[in-house]
Amino acid sequence: MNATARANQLRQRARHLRQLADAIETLPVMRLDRYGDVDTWIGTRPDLCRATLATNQHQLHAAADDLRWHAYRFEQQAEELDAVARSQIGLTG
Amino acid sequence: MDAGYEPGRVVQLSRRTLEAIDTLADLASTDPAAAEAIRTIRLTRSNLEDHWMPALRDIEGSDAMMRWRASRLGTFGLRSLSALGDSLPDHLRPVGLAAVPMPVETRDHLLRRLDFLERKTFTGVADRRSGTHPNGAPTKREIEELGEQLAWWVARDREFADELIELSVSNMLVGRLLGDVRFSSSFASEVVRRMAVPNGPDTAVDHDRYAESLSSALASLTDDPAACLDLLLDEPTAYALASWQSLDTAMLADFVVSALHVAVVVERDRLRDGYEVLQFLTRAANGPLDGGMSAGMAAGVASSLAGYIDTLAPAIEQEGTTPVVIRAVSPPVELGTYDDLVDLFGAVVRVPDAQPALGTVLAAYTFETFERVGGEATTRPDVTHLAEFADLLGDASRTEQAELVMAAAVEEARSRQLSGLIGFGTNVALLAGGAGSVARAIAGQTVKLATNWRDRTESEQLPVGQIPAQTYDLITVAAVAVAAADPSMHRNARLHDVTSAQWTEARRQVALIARLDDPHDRALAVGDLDFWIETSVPGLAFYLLELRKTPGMAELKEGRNAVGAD
Repeated sequence: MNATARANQLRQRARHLRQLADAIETLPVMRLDRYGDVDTWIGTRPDLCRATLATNQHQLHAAADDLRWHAYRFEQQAEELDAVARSQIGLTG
Repeated sequence: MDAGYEPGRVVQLSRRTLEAIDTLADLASTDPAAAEAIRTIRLTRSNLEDHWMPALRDIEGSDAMMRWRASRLGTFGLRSLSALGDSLPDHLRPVGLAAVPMPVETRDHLLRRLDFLERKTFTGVADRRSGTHPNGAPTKREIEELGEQLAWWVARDREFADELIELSVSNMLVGRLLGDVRFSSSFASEVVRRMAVPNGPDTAVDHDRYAESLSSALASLTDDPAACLDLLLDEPTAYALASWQSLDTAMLADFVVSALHVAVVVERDRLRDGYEVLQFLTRAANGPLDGGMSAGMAAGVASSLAGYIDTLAPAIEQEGTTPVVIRAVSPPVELGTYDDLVDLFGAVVRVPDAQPALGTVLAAYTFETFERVGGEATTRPDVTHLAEFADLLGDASRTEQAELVMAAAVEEARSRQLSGLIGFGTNVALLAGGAGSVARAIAGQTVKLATNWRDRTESEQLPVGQIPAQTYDLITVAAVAVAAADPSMHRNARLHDVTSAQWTEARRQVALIARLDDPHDRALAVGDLDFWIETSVPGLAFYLLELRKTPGMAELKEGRNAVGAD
């Protein structure tokens, strides 16, 4: 695979990861706490459910950030590969 | 520690949790860089499946939930469970939030702030009406900040909550805050009950702002269908909402659909409660609402019929003073006489916003009927029930001297995602997937559909045709379309002599009818289909002939002739 093809592949992966990150952040589970608050149910068990949900939501946000970081890295690598490809055919910049 | 839950919200939460699980399951990726994210998604899904759902199912399956289910609104859900004893008049569960005495200075400060922002809002409205920039209006942030504080105290101090409920009829900001900030359903319900005054408030308050405030309060409740239905079971509230014309049509219609349709879909046991509301509205339509009902109530009732028509239609036996008794619920509910129901639907039909919804629901039910009975259309009573129900609506529209514009509804619906499933649209492939679910889905969409239709349709452009005539044609098309799509019914319906080429031609003609925009052209095309069948397809002609011998069809045909003569 040449540098340009590899760069395109990385950009495609970056797009996919960004889409996945967006999809995670718009999941219904990210809004579930609105429906499961103390107006809906209270007690030890609901408290446990809410606590684990809050942890999961935090983890999902972190996962989305992580995906975007990977996407950013892939895009940077793609830029570098493009630069290599350009230099191979005698172009600069 | 106190424990408690509000059944309406728990049902809602359960549904949202299942939706969350499903969407988590749908998310996938094979990219190695996403492996950790996918693991987190699986972990979250496991948490919901292993902790949330068992906890919710335990609540939903408890005896207490059953006991609360059918009870009524009436009190606040804020006291401790132990304080309630055996008296649970409210379906909204006491959630047992610890009561916190409100400091006097806090109460005074919040009420002063509420009054101040109300006056600022009033000034802003006056500015807008006079065409000047509303400098005095409070900002959204100011309103939300106040709302958050009020909601916190309402959940903990019953006396303060009562004070706010009382204030809601003189301070229009209270109702508006319900739309901006999340209060408990019990509080919102009490505000609605306090504000719901027949024909509007008899006070010096601004009626338009009062209507906006009450409409916001209604809108805030639509996510809690059980609470909406409980409110409509309260007759003074139901009457006020049905009689006051100034309420926002879309907001009220959404509220009524949530009460009469969604609440029953979520909890089938509440069908009887829904019928009790219809029973009251029937009485009202034959009394004080004889002059008509509010547009939102009419549109909501019409849209919600999707969930009632299968049990209502079989209950219609004779015309005149014969009682219509719904025996599908226990104990049975007597809605009123046939003539009473004609008046109810007459009051509904009279409201333009409700007409397309009524037509759409009837059209969907026609297709659902044929899908359900398959090859036994001529031997089962279902088509009779359909015909008699259509005849009742026809009587209602004649009584009101208004033609129900079913064709308009069908045209509008065809251009939307309901295309092919209702009216003269005949997407039989989708019909085979289950028209029942389609009928259920219609309710939520007809209000919007009706509103859009009303906004762009001039009354003189309304197509000709009355319900019986339209239904007669609809039955012809539905019978042919469903038979053409379902070979398994051919033996029972004695249609095995019809050739595949003839079925292809039948499908072509049905598709042609579905594409016609002009109701008159459509009526003629149905006549062409009829003529072709009579002269070329003896098996299908005999089937339609048998179908038209069904009791009730003769009355519909009278209307068909009227259209043909047009």
